[in-house]
Parts: sequence; structure tokens; C-alpha cells
Amino acid sequence: MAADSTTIKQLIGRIANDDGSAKNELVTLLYDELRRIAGSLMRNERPVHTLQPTALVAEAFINLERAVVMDNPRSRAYFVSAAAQAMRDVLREHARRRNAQKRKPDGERSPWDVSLAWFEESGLPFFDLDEAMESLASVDKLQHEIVQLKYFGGLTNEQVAELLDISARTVERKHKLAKSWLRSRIGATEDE
Amino acid sequence: MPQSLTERANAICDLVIAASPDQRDAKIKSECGDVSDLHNLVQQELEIRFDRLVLKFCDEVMDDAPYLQREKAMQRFAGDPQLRDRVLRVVTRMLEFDAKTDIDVRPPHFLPASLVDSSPLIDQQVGEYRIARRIGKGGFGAVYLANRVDPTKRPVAVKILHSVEPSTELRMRFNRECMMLANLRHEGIAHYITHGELDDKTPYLVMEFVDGIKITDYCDQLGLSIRERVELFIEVCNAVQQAHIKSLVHRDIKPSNILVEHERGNPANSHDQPQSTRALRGRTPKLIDFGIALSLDPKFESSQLTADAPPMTPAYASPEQMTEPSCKLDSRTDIYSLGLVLYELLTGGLPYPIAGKTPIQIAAVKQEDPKLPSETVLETVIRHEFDSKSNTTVPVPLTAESRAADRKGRSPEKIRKEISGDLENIVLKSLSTDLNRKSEARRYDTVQSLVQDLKNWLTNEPVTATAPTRMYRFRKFVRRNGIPVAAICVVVISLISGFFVYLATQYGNLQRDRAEAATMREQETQSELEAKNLDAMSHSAFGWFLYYWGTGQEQAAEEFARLMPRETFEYVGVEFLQGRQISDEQLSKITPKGWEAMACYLIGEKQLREGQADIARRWYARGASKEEFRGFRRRCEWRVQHLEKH
Repeated sequence: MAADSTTIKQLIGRIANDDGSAKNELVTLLYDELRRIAGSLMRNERPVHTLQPTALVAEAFINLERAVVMDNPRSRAYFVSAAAQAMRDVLREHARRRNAQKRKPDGERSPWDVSLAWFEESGLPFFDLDEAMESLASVDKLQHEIVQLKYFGGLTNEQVAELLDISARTVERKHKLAKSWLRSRIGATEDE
Repeated sequence: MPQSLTERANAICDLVIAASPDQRDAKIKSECGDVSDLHNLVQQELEIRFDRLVLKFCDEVMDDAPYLQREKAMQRFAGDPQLRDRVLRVVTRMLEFDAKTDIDVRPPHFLPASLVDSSPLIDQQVGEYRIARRIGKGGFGAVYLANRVDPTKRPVAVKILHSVEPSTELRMRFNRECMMLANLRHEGIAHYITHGELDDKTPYLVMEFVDGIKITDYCDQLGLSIRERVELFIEVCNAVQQAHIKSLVHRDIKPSNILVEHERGNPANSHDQPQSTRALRGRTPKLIDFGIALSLDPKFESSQLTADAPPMTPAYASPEQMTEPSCKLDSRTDIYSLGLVLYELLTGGLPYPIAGKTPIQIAAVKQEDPKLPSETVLETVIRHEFDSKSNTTVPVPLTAESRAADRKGRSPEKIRKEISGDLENIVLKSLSTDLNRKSEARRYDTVQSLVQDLKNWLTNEPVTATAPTRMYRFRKFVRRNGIPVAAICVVVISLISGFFVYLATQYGNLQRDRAEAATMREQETQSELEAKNLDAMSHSAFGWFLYYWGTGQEQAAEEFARLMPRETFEYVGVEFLQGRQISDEQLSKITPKGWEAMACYLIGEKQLREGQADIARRWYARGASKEEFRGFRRRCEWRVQHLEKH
């Protein structure tokens, strides 16, 4: 599906009307876009080591932004939420591929590796986090959304607060709660 | 079957949760029977429900003091080890997060701000500046980071009123802020650059951009000592004082409105300066946000604006600010808020429990006596761990990973000692609810008097916040002239010999005392011989010092203090003070022979502690023959009797 403004608007409209599959469609669309941009950038033989994931994400979304009318705060919330989910999907895909590959030639460090390393360093190995997040989604939707936006969308507390229309204090609080819970989960499986 | 599998599973879960913990498994078995699908579904659903319970509980106890979090978990789930373990695992993580500040949780991948931030102002040009991103949001507007549209790209902060049609009152308030800020110039205040209106008449204000973090975080991240914190805080006070001089009351002083610029990796700069100066020099804390400032100058303040209560930060507002109309406030409301900031800088906490309270409840709680900073410091820096062996909670000082350890490994007890006494009194005086200008216990009248007291504390001068007893001034005096160290017995002995010489001269018992002193010297050991080498003059100086001090002639006393060797002064001074609460009145009543009895007793004790019972006995005997003073003579007598029995 092409990432043009009409498609995105339609999808957002369907999400607003509680169409469960629309969100997935939007995520897939953004996911494709992210991968396409990443692929083309890598093929352009840019010096890969200078490519930060931030730059990649920015490039991927610059086109979309122009396509999406973001004056409605609710539409924006749907879109950003889907974008964060797409980021998570891209990272999962990459992590899987990297695991399967076992050894990779030197120098082929993709920007996604930088992101995966960040999770590792934060004590939240990607797959463990991803799995624990699945459980969190069924336990507490709001906390799941906050963590999703922060860890995969890279939003600040203030941004999350604005997007979800709650106070920054609540975001901070729920985030602390959620990450404590996530870590206790991840820690527990490690212990076993 | 009328019910779906999910419905049945849900119903079973209700039953299982209601059952007592040890019956759960049996309950699941009996309810599910052999239906394995149902069994699995129930297990799944239970898992989710347990986790919800865990999160709900953790949410409830989150604001409690760390040790309470555990305590409550242990109590609530005492009979339910399964849930208790889950809760404790999460609480443990929470404690870890409490202890360390998450400096940067932002991943390397993030969605572009222009996508996430809703403001239509991003990338717009305002005057000579282009808006880059939003950095803060207030009740009436937002603050943006903007860059000058020229090659310098100088960053500024732009405050813009909400673009929805601002009311006349809001406009007036905003205009007033601009005017007031334009009038203020101080290196500790983010300064005014310009102001104006957008095309749609939305007013904006351009100010200096402070790329900093709030003062409390700054101190913790750099691990500043108590002294350094006080020094930094004095700079904040100076900025507030400048505002007061201009008849402005800030009314919203809190850590997040006091920013200190932090080191940004700029190698060119950092190589120029040595490490130490880079760490502290040129880091002026900057006061920001005069949005709800009050002008005591009628030129700025219309009655309409002062009548209403503007938004404020309840946690840091003074009690009168929360209850009185604006027209009754004066600059002392800022002193209260400064006091709270200082409190937080020293202890890491606030003196009142305010979490989850409404502003009205907070106002009420602020009428009560604040918790002593030295108590709070122990709470915030000591974590209470559950000890499974003793089955109680035991205090565990936080370690390297903790917030308090940002204080460079100093123990809470040490911090408590450092702040208790004068510094604590200064904080409490700033937080006093007493505003009666004649009252002794009143809040500081001016920021300057607060600063003066802090400076006095830094230099060991007496502070006005502590009641000026003579004992207190003596203690300051001793500290100023040298911090107590382990003293040498020789010094003390020789000191007292000299002391006797003085007494004898003073009261005409010269001959007898000399003879006595000589006898004692003969009787005593090698150490006594060494004492002869010490300057006799300095010893009699101590006698004169005590005399003048005791009779209230402090200046004369100081003269003699200078003639004494340092160790002498420190040792006897400290020994004299330790644990012996003597009132001014009593002090002035001490007779020279009373001094002598006390001195003999102290020396005797010292000797006894060092195992020199014989020498000690002789000193006690001597003290017993002197005059009574606070029971020292009698104590000497008891000691003599006791030592003779053994």
C-alpha cells in the first residue's frame, strides 16, 4: 500500500471508528516505509557507521509527514502510536535476522544495531522486552502504550503526556511502574 | 452450555481469587475438571489478574517512603507468598529506580519532534527568531527554544501565549511580565531580550535561553558537598534579592525554576580550563519564569490583577500564599520557598508529606512544624531493607548506585551531623510561619539576612537563627579557632599547672599554690617533666580567657585566646563543652575555684580513661578541695573515695 496522504487519512479515520484491523494496516504501511528508506540509504553506500537510527527515522518520516495532515490531535496520537509500533516491528525483524545470521562481516553495522545495543545496555534485551511487553499489553493498556511510545517512538515524557492527554507526572509515574514490572519479569525469567 | 469458554474462565477466576491462597490450586482443579482448554484459559487469565493486582498495589504504595513500600507489601500479602514474591520483585525494582536518577532513557531512534509535537509554531519565525522546539508548558502558554535567523543561530527562549484568543486579563499579565523582566538585570536571572506580537496579535516574550538542569539534579549529578550546595544556593538568593530590590516577588521559586547550565561536550572550551574550575566556576544558577511574579510597585500592579489568586505550585508555595489574597503578600513568601529549596538541596526531600494531597490539605499541613532536615536526611538516604533473618526491617545505607551516593559516599549520619544545628536552624527560620516582626522565632525579614546567616555558617560565625547563648557562642568560637583533634595529655596537664598559676596570682594564694603545684610536679611522671617545656605564658592565658569569658567580657577573652597554643585551646575547649549544658547564668557565676574543680575533674577523667589511676586520683583529690561548681567538686570527692576503695 502506498504511503500517500489519502490512504493514511482513511486509515486514521477507520482507527477513530474503532476498526481493529486499521491500526495493523497503518503499522504495516509505516513499517514498509521505514524499511524501504533504510534499504535505499544503505544501498546508496553511505558510510554506514555514521548513520544513526535517528537520522534514518527522520528521513523515513519526512515524506510521510508531508502526506499526513496532523492538525487533529487525536489523529496525531493514532499516527504516532502506529509509528512507534512500526519501529518495534522493524527492530524485531532486524534482531531476528541478526540472530539467524550468527556471524556478520565487519563494518556491516546497521543503524538498527545501534538501537538494539541501546536496549541491551539499558538492561532490557530486545526479545525479553518484546515478550514482556506482550504480557503488559493484556495487563495494562495505558502503561503498555506509554512504554511503547517512549522505548520505540523515543518520545519524551512531555511528548507522551501531550499525545495521550494526561499529565507528565502521570506519564512518569506509570512509566516507572511499568518498567519496574517489566524488569521484574525479565529478571524472573533470567533467574529460572 | 449457556456460557462461552471465556465467560466460564472468568467466573472461575473470580472464585479462585476470592479463595484463600492455599486453596487456589485445589479450586482450579475442582472447577475446571478435566477440560484442559478451560484449565489453560483460567491459568492465562489468572496470570493477568495477578499482575493487575500487583501493579495496583505498587501504584498505591509508590509514594510511600521506601521502607514502607516493603513493609506494606509484607503485611498485605503475609499469607500469600505467591503474590508477595511478585510484589516484592516489582517493589525492589522501584526502589532501584528511586535510588538512581534516570538521566537519559531516550533511545537512539526517535520520531522527529515535528511529527510528534502538535504545535503549529514549530519552524515558524517569530520576530528575528525561528522556533525549533517546545521546552516547557505553563498554564497560559508555552516556552520554545528558538534560534536567531542569522549565521550565529543564537539560541533564545521564546514564551508565547496560547494562540487561542487570549483574554484581556491574560494579556495584561503577560505584558506586565515583559515589563518587569525588562527592568531586571542580574546574572542569576534569565534576562529579557525583547517582546512583541505575532501576526495574529499573540504576544510573545524573548528571553535568554538557559540550557541547564534544575538545581537539585545538578547538585546530585555533580555530587556536590553540603558546603558547595550552600554556596550555590547563596547565588540563587542573590538573584532573588535583586528581584526584591526591584519590588518584585517571584512567587514561584522551586527547583525546576532554578536552572544550572551543565557541561555540554565542548572540547575546545574544556581544555582551556583546569578540571576544578570547570566543575564549579561560571555555573551561575539562573532564576527563570516570572510568569506569576507580583510587583509591589503600584505602577505595575493593578488592583484587578492582585485580587485573584494566580496559579502556583502548592508544594513550594508559602502557607500565606495559599491562604491570603495577593495584596497581603510580601517578599517573605519567596524566602519561604527559598527555604524549601534549601531544604531539598540538603536533604533530598521536603519537610511535609504532600503526595496525593489537595492544595487545601497542603496548606493545612504547612501550618504544622516541618520535619527536621536532619531527620529527613536519614529517611531519604537510608533505605530500609527487609531482613529475613531477624524478620524486621533494618536500615541499609544506600550504596554507589543511589541518589544519595551522589554525595560522594558520605554517610547519611555524616550529612546529618553536618546540617544539624546551625544549618538546620537557618532552614527552619526560613520556613517559619511566624511573620510578626517583633517575634524572635519569625521568618527572615529579608533575603539578605538569610544570606548573611548562610555566610556566617560557612565561616563558623554565630548565626542569628540559633538562640545566642554564651555556650553557643563559645562553641562557635572554638570551632572558628580550630576543629577539635585528639588532644595530648601533656598539653592538658601543663595547661592546668599554668591555670593554677593564674588563679594564684589572681587571688593572692600565690605562694601556697606554687608550692602545691611544685609538689605535684615532683610527684608526677615523665610526662609532667615534658610539660615544663611548654610556654607558661600560654597556659595562664587560658586561665584569663576562661575568666573573661565567664564574666561576659568576650573581647578581652579573645585577646587571650590568641596567646594560647592551638591544641590547648581545642582540647580543653572541647572537653569543657562536651555534653555539659551550662546556662549563661551559671557560666557567669563560676568562681575561679569552681573552674579549678571542674578542670581537675576533667583532667582526672582523662587520666583515668588512659589507665593512669594514680595520677587521676591526685587530680581528683585536688579538685575535691576546691569550690563547688555544678557538682564537679563532689564528683571529684566520689572519685577519690571510689579509687581508694580499689
